[in-house]
Amino acid sequence: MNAPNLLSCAAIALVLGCAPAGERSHLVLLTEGIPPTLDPVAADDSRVDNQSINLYSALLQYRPGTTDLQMDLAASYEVSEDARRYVFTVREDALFHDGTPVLAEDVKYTVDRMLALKIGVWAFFTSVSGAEVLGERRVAIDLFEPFAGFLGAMTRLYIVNADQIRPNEFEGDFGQRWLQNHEAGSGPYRLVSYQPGQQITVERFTGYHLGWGPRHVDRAVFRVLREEVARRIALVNGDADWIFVSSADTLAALAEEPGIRVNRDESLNQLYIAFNTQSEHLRDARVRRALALAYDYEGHIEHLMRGNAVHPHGVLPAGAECASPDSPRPRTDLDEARRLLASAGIRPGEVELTMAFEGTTGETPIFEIMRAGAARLGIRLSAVDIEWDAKLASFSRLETSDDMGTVWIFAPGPEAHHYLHALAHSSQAGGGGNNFAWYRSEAMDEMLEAAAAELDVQRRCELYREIESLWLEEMPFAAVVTMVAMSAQRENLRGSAVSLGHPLTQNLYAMWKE
Amino acid sequence: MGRYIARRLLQMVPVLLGVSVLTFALTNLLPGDPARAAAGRHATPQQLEEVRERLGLDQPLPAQYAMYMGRLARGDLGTSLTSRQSVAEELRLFFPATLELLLATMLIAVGVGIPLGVLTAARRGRWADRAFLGFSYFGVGMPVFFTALLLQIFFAGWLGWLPIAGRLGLATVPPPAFTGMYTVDALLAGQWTTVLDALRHLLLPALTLAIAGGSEVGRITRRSMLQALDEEYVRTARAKGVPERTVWLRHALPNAMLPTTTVIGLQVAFLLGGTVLIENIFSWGGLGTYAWTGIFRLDIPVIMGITLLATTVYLFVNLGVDLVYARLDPRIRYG
Repeated sequence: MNAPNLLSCAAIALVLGCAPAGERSHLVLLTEGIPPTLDPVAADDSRVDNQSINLYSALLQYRPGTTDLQMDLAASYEVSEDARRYVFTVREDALFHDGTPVLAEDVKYTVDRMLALKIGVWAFFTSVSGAEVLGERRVAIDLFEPFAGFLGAMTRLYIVNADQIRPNEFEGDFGQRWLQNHEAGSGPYRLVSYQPGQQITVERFTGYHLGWGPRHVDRAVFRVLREEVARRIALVNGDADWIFVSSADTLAALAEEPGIRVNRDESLNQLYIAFNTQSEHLRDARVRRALALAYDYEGHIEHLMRGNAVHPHGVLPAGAECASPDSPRPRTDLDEARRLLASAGIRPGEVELTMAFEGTTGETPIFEIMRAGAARLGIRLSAVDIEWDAKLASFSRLETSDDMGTVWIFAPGPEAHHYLHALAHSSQAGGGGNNFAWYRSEAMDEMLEAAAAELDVQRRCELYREIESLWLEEMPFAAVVTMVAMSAQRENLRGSAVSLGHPLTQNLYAMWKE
Repeated sequence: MGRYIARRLLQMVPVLLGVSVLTFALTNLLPGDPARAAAGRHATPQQLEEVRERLGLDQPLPAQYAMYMGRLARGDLGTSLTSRQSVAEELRLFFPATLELLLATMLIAVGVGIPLGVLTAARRGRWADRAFLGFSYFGVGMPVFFTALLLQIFFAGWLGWLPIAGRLGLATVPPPAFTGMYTVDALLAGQWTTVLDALRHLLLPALTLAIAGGSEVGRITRRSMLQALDEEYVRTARAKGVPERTVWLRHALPNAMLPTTTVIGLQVAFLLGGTVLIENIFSWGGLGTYAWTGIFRLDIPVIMGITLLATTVYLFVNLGVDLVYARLDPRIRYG
């Protein structure tokens, strides 16, 4: 065969090799973010949580699509009177993927590991002092002080197989290196293959303690596809069953495609604009309130997000615990804003401010909306377009902090603590914390700490209501919008729902294909 | 020649040292906190402080650099702040994918660019020449990410001929790892279906990069050929009655290849940079993807490792180009 003929054959073979695969038996989910590791201790990151929720089990878990807690690996639990000790009993039928039982020792190892590494999900467990094995399947977790968010946080404490990890420990790393590309879980799915930066393939674990029905998915592939255009093509062509969507335009275009369903799920991801309370012109709360009143919230939701965002309830997302529809909704009122400025002695044209935002993640229009609002009050706003890490670094020191800045809270659960403590507690000001407003108030700190320790939901919510009142009076942050989680899928896919407690994740166990 | 190569290899040491100082300094000048990469997005200020201390990030910069170089002297590229993996091991994992893409790209760029350059020089001013020049302007001027999206939309979206991304089909099991390059490994293992699958996945990203690289190679070859054909030795050869084909291939082409060789060397550097974008668009999972995530997480050991590896590759390619010069032009002597 001569060279041209050989080339022709090769070309034909390449094209013939790409005939549609027909009906796939496995699910294909296309995501945007590359998980930095498979280690569940890093599951505070949604890219890691997306794998962890399928490969691992926790003692407690949210019912898919809700924020209702249910037993997972735990058969039961008890709380001590002082709420500083939680005793869990592990289910007898719970097995790790290597067939060994999940025992109290594994829970203790998981807690010890997290406390030693002090990374990732440890941020949700700073109140935990340690764990004690009380029996083969009974384990106690001790707290320094009562913490209302403890049970919710337990949904991110994925239990690892201690016997599997110990031989793979390296220089006291608690298997961190090994777990980067291996798993040691008891979740509904087990790892088949992991190609870093490309894809993760999982398959059903037959020994899963919650059992299997006829409709569950046998096998699934999470593939990373950063470009939204490529994800859209893959979904429309039938190469994927579910895709993550980040742009409202793409979602609108996909809604027109036959055989495709678009999802607009409630989320807990909320945007705030920080007002630096230490900055010369923003020390006066009236100026901060005036700026909050100048933002066009309706325009943001209707035009910028094409309806794919919602108003917060007061300072919290609607889905958060203690969020009340009776709380005042963020509103635009330029007359009131001008009156506040006048009472603060600010005349139009006198004030110039800076605002930090992340242009690369699409925040430029947010700045433009704020700038337009401020301009109507006679305040000039200058742009500081900056990456997240750089923004965090600049707000780490008061002298480098801008007057204003955007902050997103991607909460790990519905507890109000994750928003209000992270933003407004004085311990979170500077040093890499999210309190970009440099807001320090003893009264606020005391109320936030009291609310975090209050186990009675009603009393806790009353405390958060008081916190909200103080917040709206002081206005260290304007709660802007709550995002809607956007995704799209083939019409025959069922059960896909973004869990409020696990934002940007897909729980395969709840999904099936028709 | 041996002494020349040894001298060039020695000269690489100060270059690499300089690159390491610059990269370390510039990375640390970037706004951001490497401890955040290790501790996670929800880390509190206290947690960050502890992580900073544990990783030695609280030490003065010169001390951190000295520690890094001390480890590097022992062949240790350090540990990633995010994955806690050895950077050398991760480079070994990711580099073959990039190498496979680079080789495929160069194969297309050189294999198509040089013959096209020669052919269009032979048909100067005719429609084929004009068409090639027009295409090469597009190839050189078009940003690679845009070309990538156009090709994805056309070949994967509209025609459905080629896969949109990835290195292998979703159902294909990677071949046993010998080189880490799927096409080569599958070939070595005799897994023909996997070879075909890997080639189909390789085609679009390689073509995207090759359009830019091949256009440049073709343009330079064309221009060099036209210059060479105007030289006196060509006129002499023709006057002596040497057949035109021999004049082109034996007399003009070897001389025209000198600038082309330089451009091919430069293309390697361009491609090493270009793969960062392309690998992300095509989910290639090579060094570009690794670099992207390393930079965004400000993972200093990863950034250092990638920079040193890329610099080493570039220095060796440069050395190779100089050695090829000596083969192409007998007047060039190294000693």
